[in-house]
Amino acid sequence: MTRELTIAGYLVCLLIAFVLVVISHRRDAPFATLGEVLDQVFADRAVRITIIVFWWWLGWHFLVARTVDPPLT
Amino acid sequence: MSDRPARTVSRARQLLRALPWIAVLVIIGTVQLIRDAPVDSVIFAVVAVLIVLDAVGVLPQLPAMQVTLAALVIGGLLAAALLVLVPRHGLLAGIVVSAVGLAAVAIAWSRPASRTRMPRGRVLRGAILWASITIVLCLWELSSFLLGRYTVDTKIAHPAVSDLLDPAVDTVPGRVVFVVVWIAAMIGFVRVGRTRS
Repeated sequence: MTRELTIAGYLVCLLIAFVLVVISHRRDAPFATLGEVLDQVFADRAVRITIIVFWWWLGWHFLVARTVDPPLT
Repeated sequence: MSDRPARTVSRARQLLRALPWIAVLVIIGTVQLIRDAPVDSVIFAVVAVLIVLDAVGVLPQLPAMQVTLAALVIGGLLAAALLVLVPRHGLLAGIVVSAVGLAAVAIAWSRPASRTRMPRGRVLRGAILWASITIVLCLWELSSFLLGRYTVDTKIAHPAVSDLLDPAVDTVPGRVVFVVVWIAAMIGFVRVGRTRS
């Protein structure tokens, strides 16, 4: 039951992100699309380097380094 | 008259604006230490230090790199093909992923540090919403990781995203999807915001 709840949490986040994408692409959307937000905040070097390095690390984590940590005991 | 005081204020402002992102890097690096991944931790620490040095004006400005979309796509396709073909967790995968990261950071870094204004209106509301869902997802993932790290049973009950996606990335179709999304987003990140900086 706990496992299902944990996975449901991830799926709810994905669902909310999907809803944000759909609403933000409507003509009368009250908030900007993810692309518009990134276009503005990525003009700042600290923001774009932090996000690019984090995204790069995801590739490193899943393709190169240890992806799944063994349990402590 | 010297413009040193004005420059000092400008650099202090730049450092202040970079602080939340430096904090993000420090937090991610600390989580890597907790999961006993010192190399990953060092990577985030080095980037945090570079951003501090850049904000205080110690680092020289790199010459701007003009890379066309065609060049990025061709390079991305080549890297993606290699990452699908070479063994996962191997030396070659490490070399390709490192090359992609170094190229992306160099291109992104070479763009001038901008003097952006705070987002307003629609963009501010969008930024708040996207940041909120990202933070909630990160906290959920962090709590699952911390609760699940003790025994096999707790790991099954509280899977991290890595635990859930790892079996899929281990298959060829899953790795193709992961690599394509990873490379495509990286190309997008390298290009986005160019018109404003």
